[in-house]
Amino acid sequence: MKKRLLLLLVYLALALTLPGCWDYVEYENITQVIGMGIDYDSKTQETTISIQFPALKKRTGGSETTAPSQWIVQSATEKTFYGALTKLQETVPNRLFLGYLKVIIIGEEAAKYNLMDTIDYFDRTPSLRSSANIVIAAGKAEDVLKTIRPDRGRPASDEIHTLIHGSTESGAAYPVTVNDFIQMLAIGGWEATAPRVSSVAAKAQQEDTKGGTQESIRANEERIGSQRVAGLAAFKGDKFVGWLNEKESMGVGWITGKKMHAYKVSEPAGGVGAEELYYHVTDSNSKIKVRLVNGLPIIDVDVKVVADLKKYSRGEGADFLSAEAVSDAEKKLTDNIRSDIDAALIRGQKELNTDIFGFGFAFFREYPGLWQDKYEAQWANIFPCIPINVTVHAKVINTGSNISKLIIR
Amino acid sequence: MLKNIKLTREQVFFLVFIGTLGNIVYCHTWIDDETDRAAWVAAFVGILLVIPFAVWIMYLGKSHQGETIFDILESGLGRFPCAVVSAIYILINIAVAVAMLNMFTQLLKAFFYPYTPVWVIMLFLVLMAVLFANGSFKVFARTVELLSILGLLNFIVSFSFAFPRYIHPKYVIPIFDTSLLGFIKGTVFMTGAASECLLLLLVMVSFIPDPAKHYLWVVKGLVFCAAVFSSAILVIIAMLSPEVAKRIAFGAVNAAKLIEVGDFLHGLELFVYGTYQFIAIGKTTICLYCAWTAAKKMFNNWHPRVQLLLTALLIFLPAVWLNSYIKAYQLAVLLSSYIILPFCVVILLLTSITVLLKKKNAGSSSK
Repeated sequence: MKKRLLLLLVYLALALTLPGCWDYVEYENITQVIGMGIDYDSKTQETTISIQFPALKKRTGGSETTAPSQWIVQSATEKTFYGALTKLQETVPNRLFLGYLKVIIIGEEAAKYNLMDTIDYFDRTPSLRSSANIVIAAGKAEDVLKTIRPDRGRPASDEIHTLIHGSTESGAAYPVTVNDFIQMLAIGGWEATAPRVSSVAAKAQQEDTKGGTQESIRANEERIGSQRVAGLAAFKGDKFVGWLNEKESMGVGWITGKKMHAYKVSEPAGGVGAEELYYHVTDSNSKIKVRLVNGLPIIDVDVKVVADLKKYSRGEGADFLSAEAVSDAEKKLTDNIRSDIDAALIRGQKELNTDIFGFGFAFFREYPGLWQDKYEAQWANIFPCIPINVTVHAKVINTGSNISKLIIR
Repeated sequence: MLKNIKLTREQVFFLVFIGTLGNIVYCHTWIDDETDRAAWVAAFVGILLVIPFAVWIMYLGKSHQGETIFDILESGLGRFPCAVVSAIYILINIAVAVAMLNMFTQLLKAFFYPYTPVWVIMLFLVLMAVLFANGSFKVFARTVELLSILGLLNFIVSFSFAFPRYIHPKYVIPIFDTSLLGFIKGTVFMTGAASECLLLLLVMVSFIPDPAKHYLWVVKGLVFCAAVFSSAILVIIAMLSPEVAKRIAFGAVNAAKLIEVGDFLHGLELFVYGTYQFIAIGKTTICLYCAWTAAKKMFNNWHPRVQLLLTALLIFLPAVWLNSYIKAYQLAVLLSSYIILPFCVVILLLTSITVLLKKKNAGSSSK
């Protein structure tokens, strides 16, 4: 009994003292990277990595807790991705910690010429959450990261993160995580997309940035402006091939069955206020079916949308919203969705020749053997020519809180 | 002393469960290229195919209740050949434990303790195994019951948050996108990996009351294990896609990392890590216990505690020396593909011949 007790005590002593000592780190001794930007210069073939992190300082009054006093953006340029990262670490006193990384911004040129270095790094780094969002910057990622809105007092990464998740409201873009992006790269017959972010600097601030530069390391630069998340970046394999505007992005969303809690706006057909319909989409889904006719794949896309009518006229039109008026509104919604889908298909299939809709993946699910034996290798050549039939069923089930318009007497 | 231990139905059930879930938890990805989306079906069928061998062991224990398979073997083969077989058995158990310790430790280092030396983590685990093995097997069986339920709850609760947001049925369908040959290869590998439980049963049969009568205890444990493990693979595939899942070293941890609950809880990998920890401790203890039991028999029960510590050292030192996830993975694949099941089949054949010869001799002498 005594021996067992001794063994237990020795064991407990070891268990309590040995593990954890090597990995113990104070909160203020790590640099919590919340946003990262990756740029590439195709002329110099250099990679620039920018990181955003809080400068922590101890609160006064004896408390040991810390709070961010300001948000720092630091950049370093080197020949390789890892070289730039190492250089960055040299300028930051604490160990870089990616566990809180929310947003990864990839510059347009990096997306075009050097995407895999970035993806490979994120794919292999266990501390990074694969639920972090990926966005593609129109222009340089560094500019987006160092743009701050003075009225919000939030770091660019936080702002972009909120904008990405808010983009589903309008359907202009949708969130793509690191894991989603890697899945789209890994799965055959499904090309990757990612939301587009752009930044606009305030006129007076356009060339006037604070901070300093030393031997390809730039520290604490910032510019006043704001970011916008709208549209999608389309890829073919690991190469960025072009942008999709908001209408085309919505079309991709309809085809791929993205749940957008969006207001769908029908464009005014006549003069100002003549015909303007606003919808709130409550449910949407799509089914992609693949048929083989004489060896040629034919894609059938069936989109179903359920919406509430939020506004049906601006002055003109019937006082009472009749069943015919609702049917008319349904038809207009159907036509509008159809035009979004057509725009997306023209852009993706005919202009960019990239299967961002996942039709190839749908083909594989329908005919796995045929896909593996024959069509997978030829899909890039077949895809631009395949006929795609689209049917849209839109249903307006609700007209908001009233059934007739407000008449001012 | 050992002969007095009799396990209950639940204890056998959970010991078989933990005994099966060893290196298979990590090396199941080996078959993904062969089986593709049918990996979970191959896992299910592969584990079920262990049942005939398990039942075989139970029936061998019928006429030799309270004896291990090695006891039966010794009575037929003689002391020296049995010692040779026991030595191989000890080596296999050590190899299984070394692979398990390395893979679990590297999981820990990759996600939680990057700067903690491997020997510290391994020492922690091996000491825990010594502590369990040093006590009564019955106490260990009770602990396994408790830890298995805790581990299962951890796992199920964590992944229940994945429904429906993170589950993509399109990643799972079509279920059979592989060739028949590929599926069979994958299934056979899984049977080899799951046959780690046979290593335990070779010894544990002595603790099961009337094993031939209670063979269903073991069968139920294996069926349960097949259902749990294959559904875990199915969930991981549905979350990550088979294309991504097959490339990942720690599928369940990576999948759990994706799960977000509200704005504050990002990733539930810590819970899944708990399950992996229970499996690692349970499996290391089982391997240590099996190797120690065989060693005691070989050395005629000479200083059992010293032998226990020496066996633990024989697990700990090669594990620290190996210090590599990839090498441990390859070792686990080697054991699962070519060693464990063939070894168990040879043992069972030899034991069956021994039992038959003994029956024949008994019959002829009675005449």
